[in-house]
Amino acid sequence: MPSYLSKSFLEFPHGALTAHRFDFRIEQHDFVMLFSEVIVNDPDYHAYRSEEVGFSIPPACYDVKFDRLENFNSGNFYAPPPAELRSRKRRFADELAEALETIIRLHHKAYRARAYFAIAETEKLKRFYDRVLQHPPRDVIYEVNIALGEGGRGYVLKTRYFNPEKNDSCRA
Amino acid sequence: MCLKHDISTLKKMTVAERKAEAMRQLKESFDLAERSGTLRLRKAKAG
Repeated sequence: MPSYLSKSFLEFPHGALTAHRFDFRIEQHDFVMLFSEVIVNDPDYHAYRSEEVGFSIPPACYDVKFDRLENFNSGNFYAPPPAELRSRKRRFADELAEALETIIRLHHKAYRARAYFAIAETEKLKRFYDRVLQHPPRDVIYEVNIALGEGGRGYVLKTRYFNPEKNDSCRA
Repeated sequence: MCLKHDISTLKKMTVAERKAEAMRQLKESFDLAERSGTLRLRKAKAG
């Protein structure tokens, strides 16, 4: 079962906006999960990001990333763990999925996010996301778009705040 | 601090490079907030 090391989101200035951090642990692996709101007041950047996802991105949409805490602290982002620490167990992947879902649920509740964007930088992560997102939490996520952007590695999770008129009809 | 996004540079990057660069910027912002005492907490209990 995942351990949630954070009891609160840590908020910190990131450009003109605020980013959020939440830490968790699975087995002996500590992770950091980060949410950064997509900038919508830079027209060129907004157009670029909107083109990728296929709709005009409104405020309160977040890029979501996670990494091992060791990588975050060292700046060696997304480096795989040493071979002796790698887990191939299905249980590890299930617990990781559980942690990500729990933290997104908390974030959605705290910040009323309209959408979350994620990118799978590896085939392994893409397989993981594809599997997990077959059954998204329907009380939070009402629409999942996959295979977006370069190499079809982008994901969009629209929440019930994205399109309030669909809110009621899309709850599980 | 103002984040500037150079679209032509972003388009030349691979997915992995873009993601790592975004994480680098986040770490920079986090570290700066830690040093300057601008970290804030928003309660969220995960059980």
